[in-house]
Amino acid sequence: MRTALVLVFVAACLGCGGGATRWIGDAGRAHAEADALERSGNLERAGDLLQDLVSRPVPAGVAPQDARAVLQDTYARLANLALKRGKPADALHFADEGLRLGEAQDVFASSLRAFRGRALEALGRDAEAAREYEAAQAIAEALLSEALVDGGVR
Amino acid sequence: MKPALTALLLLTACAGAGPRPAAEESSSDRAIARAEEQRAEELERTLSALSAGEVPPDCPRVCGLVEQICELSQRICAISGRHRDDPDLAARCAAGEQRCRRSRERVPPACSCQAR
Repeated sequence: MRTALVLVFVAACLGCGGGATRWIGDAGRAHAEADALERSGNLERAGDLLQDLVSRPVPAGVAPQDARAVLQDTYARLANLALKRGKPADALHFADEGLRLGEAQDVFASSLRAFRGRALEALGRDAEAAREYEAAQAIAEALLSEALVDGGVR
Repeated sequence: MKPALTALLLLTACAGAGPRPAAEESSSDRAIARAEEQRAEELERTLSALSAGEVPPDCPRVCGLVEQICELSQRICAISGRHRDDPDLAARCAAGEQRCRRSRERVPPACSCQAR
């Protein structure tokens, strides 16, 4: 649901730019297909589809913050899929890749931090996991403040 | 359009046409000033409502964030529970629980978030 909203928002911002709009369209289709595959229990194929999406070059017309939102959302989903498949090392890798794209006080960074924490916890690195959870919590608290101040307009 | 409304519009339009005597002009100016004043008061009331946080909150978003904050605090405390001899983790657990409590207290009365 959140992914769909991100993609619709980014597509609206892009207007009718050819390559950029096509990239957003492809991302939307990949996520929709991954949804269906996940529902049918085919987590591996869902992961492959999303990995293919993040490995493609981002067209020049996409604004950096929009590209970051789409890619970080996809990396968070890849991390979650890896955790579901019992592959915490892969989950950690995907969370790191997502965070490497930059960090803002937003839902994407918070989500990636939380998945990083879960991966670390599954790998037995408890102290590091706690720090990641705390970082995710701090971002979520800042987002809550924003939501309460502006009525959730942002 | 209703006939009475049409007549009223015509009368208003006709009243505005042509030069007006000084006394009438000043009375009209006073009316305009009164209307402007009323509008300013209305805007001020709206602004006060906005700054007082009377903008309807996005409850699903608020509740989702509170739930996330509290779930993360549970995870931190579960880790701390496995390492009872670690004061740093205990402190993080306490701070996390405080964040969860503080977030729940900040939920506006208009939102009824269900604690899990």
